[in-house]
Amino acid sequence: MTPLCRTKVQTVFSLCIICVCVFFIIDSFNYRPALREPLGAAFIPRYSAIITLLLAACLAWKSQKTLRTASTEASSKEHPVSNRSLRWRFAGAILTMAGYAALLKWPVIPSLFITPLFLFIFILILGSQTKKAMWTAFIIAITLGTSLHLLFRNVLYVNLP
Amino acid sequence: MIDALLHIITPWPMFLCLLGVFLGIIVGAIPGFSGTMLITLTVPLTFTMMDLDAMVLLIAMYVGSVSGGLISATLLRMPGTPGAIMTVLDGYPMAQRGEAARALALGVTGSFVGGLVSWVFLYTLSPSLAIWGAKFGPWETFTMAAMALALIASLTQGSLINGLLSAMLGIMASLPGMDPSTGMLRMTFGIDALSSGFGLVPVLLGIFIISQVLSDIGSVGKMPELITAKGSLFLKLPVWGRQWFNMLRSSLIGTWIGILPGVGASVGSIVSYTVAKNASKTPEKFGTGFEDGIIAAETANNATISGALIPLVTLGIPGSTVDAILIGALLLHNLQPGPMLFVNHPLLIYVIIASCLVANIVMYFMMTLMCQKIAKLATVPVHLLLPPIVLCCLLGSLAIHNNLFDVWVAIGFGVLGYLMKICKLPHGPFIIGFILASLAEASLRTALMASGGSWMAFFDRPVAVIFAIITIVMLYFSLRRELRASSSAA
Repeated sequence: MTPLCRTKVQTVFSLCIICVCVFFIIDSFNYRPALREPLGAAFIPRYSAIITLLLAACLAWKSQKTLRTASTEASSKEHPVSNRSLRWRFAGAILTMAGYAALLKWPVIPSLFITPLFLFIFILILGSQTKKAMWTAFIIAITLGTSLHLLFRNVLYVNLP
Repeated sequence: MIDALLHIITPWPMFLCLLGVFLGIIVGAIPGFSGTMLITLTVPLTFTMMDLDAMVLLIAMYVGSVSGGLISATLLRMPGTPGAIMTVLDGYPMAQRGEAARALALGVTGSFVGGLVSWVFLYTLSPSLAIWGAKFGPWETFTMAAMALALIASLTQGSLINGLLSAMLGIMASLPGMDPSTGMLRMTFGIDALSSGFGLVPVLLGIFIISQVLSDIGSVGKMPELITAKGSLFLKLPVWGRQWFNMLRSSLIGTWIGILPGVGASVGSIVSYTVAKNASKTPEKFGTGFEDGIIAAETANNATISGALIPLVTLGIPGSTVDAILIGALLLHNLQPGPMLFVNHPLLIYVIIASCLVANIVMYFMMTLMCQKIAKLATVPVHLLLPPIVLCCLLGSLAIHNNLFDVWVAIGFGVLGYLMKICKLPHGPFIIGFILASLAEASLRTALMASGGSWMAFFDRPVAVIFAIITIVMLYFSLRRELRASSSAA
């Protein structure tokens, strides 16, 4: 990942943290201390949000400062967000997880089918899409998906649709 | 202790111990997966087990996973776990020149000795430390939690600011939900699902596993080349004679580093390796396949296991990230970690202590007999391993309260954990902050209620003052070191 890419992510992340901290600080004024309690429910949230806000600002400042002195060569670790060829895999992985969670909430299809389907799609997203790979993914998805579904539903009594 | 041992050697707990060590070794041997992930994944599955059996399984996995990193470090040149980083330096060169079996034998024996020596400290120190800890009041508990957070933030790899920010994010993540002292809902922003806050298990699953899976997407398709090890893995007597002092020194280093809250096997093995190299008459041989290097690294990293359990079982403070997850397991079984756990549930504590011993012995024989076979599992394609792991995470999150919100929490914290990785924010302080925040807050508010709002009562508690001084000194020296490093870099 290049320093520029990392700096952008750090800056955006820091800004998001600062926004969350501001929400915490504003919300903390809604809680008044109880009669016998000197601190109240708002003390820790307010002051931890202030400290976090300051630290996040330091992180953003540090990343901007590092950018001016860092080399332009990328580090050896390839992060999905910095590599265009991996971005679609990354987005696909998150969407697949979110889609599976959504289908568990709205049981249009029984989980006995969507669980192997989830595994199948995830394996294909991460691996290759050749015919042999698809057959391997299909067999593993059916075997493992069904086994894990039965384990969680019948042994651990998880309420799967 | 006898009762605990008698419990473990019955069929079901013994089976769990064997299974835990076996799975731990396999996961530890696979680069990219760690004991943290395995234990996090197993915690929700122990929900239906007895608390004693659950702890036997988790401790066995802990021991197995720390030891399993040796296999891939030696045969694949990839540390299976962070604690095996230093093992690569000498283990792989030794394997390359045809002595893979000898490298593994040195590592396995070092792991076994390190585990045994630190276990002696765990067994002898725990009762007295627990008695001392039971006398703690709210001021001591608050400053101890603050000290643990400061320690992990300052000792973790990377900058102090990143460590502190990570810890503060963990504290903030623990705040939504019911206020522990007044029972009122806070920081829920009108979201009903947040009334019980973020669950510990979904947060653990998201931060440790889903974030790792998202990060590993970049390494899909890269298969390591395996060196085969042939020969016996039992160490010969002359080697014991040469290495006994190195093993003892490394065990002591690993034990004491393990006791430091938040510092784990990786720091223990690095410090021990460095000490061994500096003390050696032939330091130039380190890094070329030297047996002293393997022994120093592997002995220390296993010694940190029992060392890290000492603050956990006596004070309820996690000695490492894995111990933070073990705290989650205790909470899942309605057990409150802390000094009173020793008083109220002594059998559980001694089962934890005895599990370390039994798991260590099982690990030695399992590694010695099955190392070469387990190494082949490390070459399983990553894209086939990750999806079932993610599925187990999502269903594991659902398993705790049968609440789909927990699944979204796991995914959300997985993305957060991934972003933290990119920004070089360590995960350890986050989790320890998340776990210790409620304890610290409740203690501080109780202390101030008891003193009528007076902060001066703090100065009447010398132990609390000492903890506070250690916290401030630790932060000061870490900040000074960082400012010096940044000014010299500029």
